[in-house]
Amino acid sequence: MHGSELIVGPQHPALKEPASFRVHVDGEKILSLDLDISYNHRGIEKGMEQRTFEKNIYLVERICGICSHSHTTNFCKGIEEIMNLTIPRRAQYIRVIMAELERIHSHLLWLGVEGHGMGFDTLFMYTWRDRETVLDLMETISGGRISHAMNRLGGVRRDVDDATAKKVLQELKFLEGRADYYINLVKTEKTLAKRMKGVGILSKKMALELAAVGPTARGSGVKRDIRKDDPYAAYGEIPFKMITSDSCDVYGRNYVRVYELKESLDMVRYALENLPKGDLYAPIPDTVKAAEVVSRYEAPRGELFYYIRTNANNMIERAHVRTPTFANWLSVVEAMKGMHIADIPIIIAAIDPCMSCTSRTTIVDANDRKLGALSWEELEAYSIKWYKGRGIGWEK
Amino acid sequence: MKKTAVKKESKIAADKKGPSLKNEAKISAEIKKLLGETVSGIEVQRARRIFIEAKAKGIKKVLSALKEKMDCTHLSAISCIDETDSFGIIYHLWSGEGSMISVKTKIPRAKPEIETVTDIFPSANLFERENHDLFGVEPIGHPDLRRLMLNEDWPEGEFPLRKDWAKGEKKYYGGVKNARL
Repeated sequence: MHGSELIVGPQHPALKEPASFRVHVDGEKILSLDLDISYNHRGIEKGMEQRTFEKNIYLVERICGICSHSHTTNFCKGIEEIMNLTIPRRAQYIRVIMAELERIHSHLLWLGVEGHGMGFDTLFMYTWRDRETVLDLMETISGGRISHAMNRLGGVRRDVDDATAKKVLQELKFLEGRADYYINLVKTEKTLAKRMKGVGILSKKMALELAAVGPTARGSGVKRDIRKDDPYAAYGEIPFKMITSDSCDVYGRNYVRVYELKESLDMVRYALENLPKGDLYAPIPDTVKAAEVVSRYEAPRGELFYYIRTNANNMIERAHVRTPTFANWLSVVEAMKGMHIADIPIIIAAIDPCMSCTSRTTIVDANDRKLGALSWEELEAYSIKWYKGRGIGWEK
Repeated sequence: MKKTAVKKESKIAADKKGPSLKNEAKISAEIKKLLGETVSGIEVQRARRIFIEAKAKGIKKVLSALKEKMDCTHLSAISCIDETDSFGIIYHLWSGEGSMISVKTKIPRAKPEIETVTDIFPSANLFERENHDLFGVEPIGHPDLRRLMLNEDWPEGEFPLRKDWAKGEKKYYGGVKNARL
């Protein structure tokens, strides 16, 4: 076969979790990509079948360290539907406040990771500093920075009192200023545009075909957002704009995310200012009937999908979790085609993989079948150097 | 204390009537017209949730009809369930707006095989590999049936999400050999 094979991954989860990519290259050009994500199966779905509903909330929270609130909300939403509960509006609003704060923290984290991958470490420092503010706010509300444990069946566990709301609203001013700064940065920073425009092309047709979700789909002009299309919690009442971009590349995905920062901040503000009075949770029944439910949620990375079937023993018969990153892998495969090796880090980073990344790269040269090894950091360094050699980069 | 709880619940039940299901009724009528005898049991569970049942043999026809005629281009997931004597397989389709249509089918446990749908929905590729790995459901005609979820040193013929699966004594399931567990 013509060309060479580049193996990216899989061990040593430095920043994220392990996945391995086999990149088939011809010189600098990427011909195709193959992936292996088998390094991290933790058997959570099986574990869910052996636990009670309450215990499962804490188990699903640990599926992901970044969208922990997404998983618990989606799980609770499904079970509550089977229980035929109506959740108090105050609880719905608090769920949205947490969800949008989580989206802001996730997008900021991603922006930093992306900046770091491109050698733009100032951006990385800025975004991660601002992310601390968001995490502090989430800690103020829920008591936890990462695992918030905010949800319980029927509603939420903790209230947002007036003092907390006041504090959060005050901090939002700072974050709004920062969001404006990042939007301006993405709009005007030339080097950033050069690294992202025309890189990792995913056409609208392919995005639809491959069932891309979240900012990856919206960055290719696909108008899909579960908050709009299948409203849950208080999303039917809180106004927001769906952000899409027609540029169909890494820049588009970036554009969607920075503008979503602003939308999410507005939603948090709206929810806090219009927080309805009432109970924090509805009483839940002792028994649950055997039923099945499809529960969907717009996590920071896209559509989070749960299929849950309960049985007559008050337990879960089967819980199927499909995370947004899993749905977006095929889009990465598509977006890689025809790109340069130096673009691998940014294209992989652009779907904001929740389970990915790597640390070791093996290069197999087709001509002499020689095996070499590169770490993820070295690949990043290679990528930064490659672009610097073409006059695109930031001075240290 | 208990009384108020009961009162609340009855109020909840009254609230629960919810929005009218006109659109869902329209969609299920369309499905009936489109697929006729090939599907049975169209159930509107709630707003934006429709479950339909189909025979495993003609599943490909049903799904491609839904894609072509009803614009259900988005395959969200393929769920698999161990139902003791059979496997339930559910295709969750979505048109991008409106209702989620979940197509349920069953295949016998003795012969867990089903046609692949990767040629209709490219996104099914990973989903079918996932079910192949964890349940041992064979998608006939799948272009690339390598392992996806489980590690490469996982023993052949063991499917952890089947109900009767149990970890074998002194069996090696990958990772560090002879590790003290």
